[in-house]
Amino acid sequence: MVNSPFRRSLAAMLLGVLVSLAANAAPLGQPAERAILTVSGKITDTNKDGSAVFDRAMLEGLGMMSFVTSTPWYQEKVKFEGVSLDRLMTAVGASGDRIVVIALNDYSAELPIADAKKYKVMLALKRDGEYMSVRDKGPLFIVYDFDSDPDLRNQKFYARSVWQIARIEVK
Amino acid sequence: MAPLRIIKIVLAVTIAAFAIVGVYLSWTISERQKALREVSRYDSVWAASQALTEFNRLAFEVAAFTMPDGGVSQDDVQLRLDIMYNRLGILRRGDLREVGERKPEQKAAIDELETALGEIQSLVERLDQPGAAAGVLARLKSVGGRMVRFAAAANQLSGEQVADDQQRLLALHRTFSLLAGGLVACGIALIALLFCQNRVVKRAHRDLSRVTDDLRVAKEAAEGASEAKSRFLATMSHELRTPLNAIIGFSEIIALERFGPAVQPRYREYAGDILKSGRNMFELVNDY
Repeated sequence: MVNSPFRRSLAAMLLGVLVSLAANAAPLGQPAERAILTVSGKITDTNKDGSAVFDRAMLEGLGMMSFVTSTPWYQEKVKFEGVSLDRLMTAVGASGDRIVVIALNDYSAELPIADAKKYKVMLALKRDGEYMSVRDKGPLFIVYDFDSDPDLRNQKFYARSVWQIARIEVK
Repeated sequence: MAPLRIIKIVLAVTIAAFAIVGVYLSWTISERQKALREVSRYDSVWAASQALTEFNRLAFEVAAFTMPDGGVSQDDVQLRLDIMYNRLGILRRGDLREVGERKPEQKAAIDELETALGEIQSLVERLDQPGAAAGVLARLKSVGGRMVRFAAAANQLSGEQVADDQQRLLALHRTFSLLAGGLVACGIALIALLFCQNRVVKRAHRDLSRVTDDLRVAKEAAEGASEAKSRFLATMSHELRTPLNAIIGFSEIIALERFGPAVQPRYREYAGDILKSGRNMFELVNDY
């Protein structure tokens, strides 16, 4: 059969799609400074032994969000800046339906991944403009925008607000 | 006062009561919703008891550091200490602040923890030196008991808050039930009033019908009488016309001397008078 222009452009289109899919396979890069977060489990985008390891710059590179909310841990309202959980899950290609978040002191909580889409929730890096150290719930703190929805203001979601996050396992 | 008027007043009062009870009920419902939201409070007891866990792990880590094959580095100990500092912040601020505000001795316990952590920090910085680790453990031991008591105070406060929440909710529920009962009572009263009003109106309607019937009978009687009178007059006018025609006719003949002059002029005059009277009577009769 004659190589028609239509067949040629179709082939080009398919090739383009394949290339972009391949490109999405490893957009994460490697951590330059000390790693602060390791994501493992049912994920497709990894950069080290089947896990996705992040340093602060890599997380900030995913795009930051911020909100101001009251919390049971501070008297006044607090401004949190960090990576939205939704963005992080997309960046690692999470395919499970829940995540287990484990802290430096081994506290852990299980969150449904659906929370990332349903509520405003982030992994906070900064509190009131300052990076959070371990002594101030850092380096990462899962925070919901409690003021945005009265359904969030109860122990169910306070228990999900893990601070001093070390690892996330996607199940 | 007419019974209908009494009913109208009672009805207005009942409707006003119904409206007031309804508004109060809506307010009670919204308060209940608010109270229900507070049922699931922040668990400050867990947060306070975690202080003990982290406390103990710091102690273990320091002890393991002193052993040659413990596998613990200075950084590991520093991490535990940083976690302890974070915990201090939790105990001081936010919802747990109330424990310290209620009991000064609990606030003093937190202050002592802060002092102890400061001393432990400087010891941890030279942890490999002899006596440093032992110093840390000793300092931790001196504060440990007060940490337990702080957690116990947090537990007690939490229990009281839960009990208060429950009481508030029960009170609201009682109010709600009373108001709902009141609303039902108003509803029954309204229905009863409607029945009363209905009865009064029915009675009035009955009376009115009777009067109407009486009036109709009277009207028919009056009409009948009037008709009878007209018929009588019609008959009478006919009966009168005939002799009147004779009176007018003949008096005219005599007055106008149709069949020759009258023997007595006086009779002509009299005939003229008769004619005039007859014509007058004719006018009167013609009106009917």
